[in-house]
Order: sequence, then C-alpha cells, then structure tokens
Amino acid sequence: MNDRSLTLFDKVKLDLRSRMMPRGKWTWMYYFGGFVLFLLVVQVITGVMLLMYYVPTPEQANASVKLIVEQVPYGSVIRSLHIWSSHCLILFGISHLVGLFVMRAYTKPRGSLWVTWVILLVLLLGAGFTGYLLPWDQVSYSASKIGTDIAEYTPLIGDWIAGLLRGGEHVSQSTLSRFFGLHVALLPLLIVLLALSHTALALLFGRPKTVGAIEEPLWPSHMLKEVMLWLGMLIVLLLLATFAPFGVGEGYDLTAPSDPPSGVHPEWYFLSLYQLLSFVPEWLAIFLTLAIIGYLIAIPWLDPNDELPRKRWITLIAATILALYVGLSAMAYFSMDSSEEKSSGMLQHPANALANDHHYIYSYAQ
Amino acid sequence: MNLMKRRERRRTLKALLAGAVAFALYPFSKIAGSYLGYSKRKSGGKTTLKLEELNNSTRSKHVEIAEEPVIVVRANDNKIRAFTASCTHLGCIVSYRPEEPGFYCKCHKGKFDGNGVNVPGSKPKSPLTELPVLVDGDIVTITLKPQA
Repeated sequence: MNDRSLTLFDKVKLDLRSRMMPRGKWTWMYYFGGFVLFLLVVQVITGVMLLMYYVPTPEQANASVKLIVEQVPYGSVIRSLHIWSSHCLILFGISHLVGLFVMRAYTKPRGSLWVTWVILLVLLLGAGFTGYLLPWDQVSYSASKIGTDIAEYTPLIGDWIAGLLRGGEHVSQSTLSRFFGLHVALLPLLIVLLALSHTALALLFGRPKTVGAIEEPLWPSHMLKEVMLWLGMLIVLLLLATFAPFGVGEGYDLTAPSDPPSGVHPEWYFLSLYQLLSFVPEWLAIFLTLAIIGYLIAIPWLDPNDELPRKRWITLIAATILALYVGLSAMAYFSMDSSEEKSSGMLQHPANALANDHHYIYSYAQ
Repeated sequence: MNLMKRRERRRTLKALLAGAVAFALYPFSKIAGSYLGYSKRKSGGKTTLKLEELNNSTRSKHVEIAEEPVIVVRANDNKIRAFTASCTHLGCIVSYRPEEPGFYCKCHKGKFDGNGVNVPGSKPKSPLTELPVLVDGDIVTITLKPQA
C-alpha cells in the first residue's frame, strides 16, 4: 500500500497497531497513566459543570456550593465525582510515577518523559490545595491559612511566596480570587498540556525495555482493556459519589473571625508533610520537600544509561522517599484518633467529624 | 468465505461495543441534562412605589421584584395596573404607550394591548402576566407570587 493513499487517521491506526504492549507480571502498571488521562477528562467535565453555579466571593462561595449540593439536581453527585476523582487522580498519578521508576522509563532519551510527570504531579497537588479553599467553609479556610502560613517559613523568599499566594497578609477575598484563578484556569491548562506532552513523548519514544514474553498490539487489544477499565472506574466513582458524597461545612465569615474548628486537617496527600512538621522545624520540612522534588527531577541525570544496571543508592533513596511518604501519612492518620490536642487543632479523625455533623459522611470536609 | 465471515463478525462486535458505550454514557447525559437545566425558582416578593412616580409622560415605571422585571402603569381611566415587563417573544423589556394604549417591544416590534394581551400578527404569542396591585393612599404595592 502506498503511503499517499492513507488518511491521517489510517496512519495513526497503523502506527498504534504496530506498537506492542507486554502482557505479563508487571503489565498492570501500564494502565495507571491512562487512568490519569481519563480522570483528567472527568475533572474537566465536572469542573466546568461546577463553575456554572459556583461564585468565587467570600460572601457567596459557601452558599453557592450549598446550592449545588442541596438544590441543583444531581449537584451533589457532580461535586462528589469531582472530589472523588481528584483523590483517584493523585493516587494514580503517584502510582504511575512509581511504575515509571520501576520500569526505568527515564533513562536516555526518556528524561523528558519522567520530568513532565514529576511536574504534573506537583501541579496536581497544587490543584488539590487550591481547590480545597473554594467551598470557603470553616475547615477549608483554616486549612488554607495553615498551608499558606507554612510557605512563610521558606528560607529567604517565604514571605514573598506566602504574600503572592494570599494576595495579602491574610486569607481573604484576594486569596479566594487567586486560588480560584489557579484552580480553574492556570493549573488545569498546565496539567492538560503536560499530560498531553507526556503522552506524546511516550508514543514518540516507545516503551522502555521490559521483560515480557507475550506481547499484544496497543490498538485495539490493549486500548480495549484500558477503555473497559475506564468505564468500570466511572461506575465505581459514580457509586462513591452517590453513596459516599462530600458534605459542605459551615461558611466562614470574614467579618466575624473565629477559632479554627475541630476537623481542620490537610487532605491525605499532604498528611506526610503535616506529620513531618511535628518532628522538624518548618524550614527543614520545606527544605526536605524541595529536596525530594529536586531528587525526583534529577533521577534521569543520575541514572542515564539503561545498558548498565541501576545503581543501588538511587533505588534506595527513592524507596526511602516512598516509605517516608506512606509511613508519615499512616502515622498522621493513626495519631488523629488518640490525641485530644490534635483533634481540637489541626487534625480530626473521620469518626469524630461524622459525629459532629451528619453532612460529613466522609472526613474530608470540602 | 472465511474472510467474509470474519468481517461480518468484526462488524457485529463493533456495533455491540458502540452499543455498550452508548448504554454507559446515556445515564450520564441525563444527569448532565438535569444538572444544567436547573434554574432558581422565582422567590416572589413585593415592591412599593409612590403614585406620583407614574405622573411622567409615559405614565409608567419599570420596577424589579425578585429579579423579575415589572412595569407599573397608570391606565387612561387612572387605574393602576402592573404587568411582567419581559416580552413573551424573546424577553426584551417592553415599554408602555399611553396613547394607544398598549405595550411595545423594540426588539421585534412586538405589541400587546392595554390589558397586556398580545396583538395578533405581531411576534409575541402569549400575553404579559398581570400582577396584583394594592393602592393605599399614594403608596402602590405590587406583589409577585413565588413560582410553584
């Protein structure tokens, strides 16, 4: 067949058919990247739908979220889909990074593949942080206050960063406008661009060397399974959104400042940072966080050659980071229960939140 | 022959797959439809104005009750009446013409008579809604009933 007689669509199809995916012990890892792409689509669709009723002002933000949840048909489902899929997005984003590391999908020439994903993950965390404030309830207000206060401890430029985030000394209308703009415009744009670049790079480079005796074409065999899993995931998300919806807390009134309520806590993906802060001074926690991001970005330069086996210490540091992340998060989660001091301060166990307010079906009071 | 059979089977499988996807997406389109179709129920309410505010050349005044535009007129028999002011054609705000008497919409030359009934032959196909008016001394109170 001569090349000219083919349409672009035919060429893409032929290209995808010629790509082989392994079928073996580790192949489940190949699905996480696709999960993230699918969840991004869910995020964009539900996010735009939420935008139709959300009002980003301190006076109306909370009421508009309550309107969505209590008045608009299926509003609670749409909002909970947005939140549940955001949790899954970060979970699978981390899983895909682990997968890329295990498969060494960062050796020459794949450095950009790895770096785009690390940055994507950081931006996803940023989207989670900025989105948390938008319902403008007591819990999200206090969490954003704590979050931006921590930024102040960054050496040298801390005050500047915190001021830039908040648009002033306190969490206020400026902060809400800034977080809103970041959450609905800048971050989604960058995230989608990075995800597309990452996908394009993955197709460009092809998959890295992996052990896999049996192979199947990417199109249609692998894609069919991927799409089935997406549909399955959508069903699970819909069940979660329907039977475990997220409630809305009491709105925060800027004109009547009040103590942080019990139940102020970061999302699970920030729990490790929270726990770290109870062990080390703030500046050190920030330094460690930045060092970890720096190390992750540097991996393609530390281990560039896939002809040689990976150096032990590279794996060791990466494994330590993962262990610290999981361990500190678990430690924070399990210490919520016992410590009275914490439940009145930053953290609260889901069970207590449940008792306080029947709206808090799940602990994350968004 | 074998090739034909395989093509046939592939076509059937494709149709089945498309059907499954459509089946999965149908409820979501329904959910999205009702979510986006929500509009705030009109809450209803009251507004007042002074009788002398209707002494202008158009013998009328536009007011707003719970986001609903309303026109209050002093008819030629000096009776005070109030109507919803959105043209029933495409929603432009109508004005009162005491000389006809009637209501006129600039957007598409829509016409209503003095009772708010659409004039046959003009664009609007349904009348303006008249609202209850209470005149107490020189205070006029107009009531908009909340939507059921």
